[in-house]
Amino acid sequence: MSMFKSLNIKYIVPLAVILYALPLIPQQPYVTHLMIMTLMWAYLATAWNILGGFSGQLSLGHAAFFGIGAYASYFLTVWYGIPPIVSLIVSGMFASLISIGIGYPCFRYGLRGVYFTLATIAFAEILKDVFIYLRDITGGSLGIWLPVTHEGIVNLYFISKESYYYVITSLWLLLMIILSLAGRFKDYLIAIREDEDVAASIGINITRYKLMALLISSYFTGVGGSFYIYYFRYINPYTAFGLDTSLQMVLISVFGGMYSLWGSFIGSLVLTPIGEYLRITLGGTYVGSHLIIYGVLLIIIIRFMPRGVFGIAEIIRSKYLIRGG
Amino acid sequence: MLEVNDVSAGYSLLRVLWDVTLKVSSGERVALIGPNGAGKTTLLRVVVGLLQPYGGKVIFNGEDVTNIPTFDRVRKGITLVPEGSRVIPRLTVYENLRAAATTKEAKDKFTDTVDMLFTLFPILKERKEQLAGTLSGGEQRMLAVARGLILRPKLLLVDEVSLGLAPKVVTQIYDSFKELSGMGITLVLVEQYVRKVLQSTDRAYLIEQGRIVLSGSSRELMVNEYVRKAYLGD
Repeated sequence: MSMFKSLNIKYIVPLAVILYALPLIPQQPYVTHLMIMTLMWAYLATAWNILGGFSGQLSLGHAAFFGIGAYASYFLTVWYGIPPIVSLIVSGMFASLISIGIGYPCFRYGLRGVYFTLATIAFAEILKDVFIYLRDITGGSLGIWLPVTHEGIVNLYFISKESYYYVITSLWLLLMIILSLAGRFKDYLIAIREDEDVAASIGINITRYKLMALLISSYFTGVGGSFYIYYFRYINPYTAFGLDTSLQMVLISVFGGMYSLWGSFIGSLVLTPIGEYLRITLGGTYVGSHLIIYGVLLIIIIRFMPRGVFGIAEIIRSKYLIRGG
Repeated sequence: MLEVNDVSAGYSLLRVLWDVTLKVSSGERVALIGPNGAGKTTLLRVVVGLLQPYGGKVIFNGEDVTNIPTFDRVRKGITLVPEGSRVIPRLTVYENLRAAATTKEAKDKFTDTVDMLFTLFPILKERKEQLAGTLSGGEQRMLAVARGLILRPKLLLVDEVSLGLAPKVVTQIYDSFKELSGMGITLVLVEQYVRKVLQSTDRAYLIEQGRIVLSGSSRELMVNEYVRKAYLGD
């Protein structure tokens, strides 16, 4: 049993207690919204990181899965009357299904590196155009609204923001626990990322595991999109399939440290509030200036911490272990 | 156990191997020697399926495996320890071993195999929780061999295990090969460190410029005039 695998669980439990207790402190609705966004982006970046971080397949098109999850939830709820809590779970499967469309041809025929990345960008862009074009079904560029319904967990509709916070926190914790327990699976993906020849030489079916990483990553990303639409009650193709959405997941993960399970959480904890704060204080007066500051911050931080915030922890860990060993 | 028949291979237009034929019987220790760039590594890559040959066949235990993927050949019992060890630096020693337990047999016997390997290479036991990237060159090489053994292979192909290592460490690794051979594992060792490998094997092939130019028992090659002049510096 690896020492660090059990440590993950050791960290998750107390963190869960803290996260669940946070709303007990009375706060402005806006602060709660900020907490929801932080957890949502932590969750999405963690989901992205399964494919992008662990298996090293740099996707810049995860918005495709996010958008499919969101739109699938809308269709399931509004057209088929399926309870939102069920749609939340099912919508991810649609995202996985769609992901085969990009994953199978790429992985089967060895589209690697930058070519895979380009393919993922194109994939999300195509979906965006399709959803804009099919106005009668998707509402086109105006987007779609979820009608008001009865409050409660079944409908994922709450008056208080705290309830949404509990939902997204639970989703993130669940994902973290699943990934903490999947030690061997993670090892396989890391082996593929670091050296495909070695991975093959030790008997790893590379195509299969890359596809599995994609299926799992897109599933959870789709569930994230589903949460998004139940929380905001509105989405349009630009948000759902846009490059901004994909990039946000990547930036948070890379910033926090894409080689670590915890990186995405750390990344979101820092970047999401900064992004929101800059948008609110500067976005109105000097349109776009908040994005400039955000960009410069990212450049500086990635320049000096190429492995992300969590990379520093890794360096300390290996130094300690050399001394200790 | 292993037959390579008339294999030609290379990297797109760069042809490296020309009609290579060789045979390895069960339980044998076979050396592949030759200068840099002769095609030894390429030959191993063809045998495990990391490289598809232009022509020719690879037959393992009577079965034509030329067209099956690498991970399937691993299941059949062929394992490669690649050149320069190439451990997974960001996984610990233990995780490196665990990642290699990809077959059912390897998973079932994992604990036993790890115990056996830790007796064979005690230093790996001490370094168990350490990131593989922080190991010394010799330790990484031992980990790479151990990783291959996790799969309980019938045929173990080892590429340049001695490259850049201190003689003492090389001797230690070669001692472990002796034990593996005793356990019934067939070994194919690719080496530039000719004297050592000829002392530790039964038979040898000399590859030059992509062709097998000489073969015979290792003892014969040791006293061969050409080998002595060109490779042993006598």
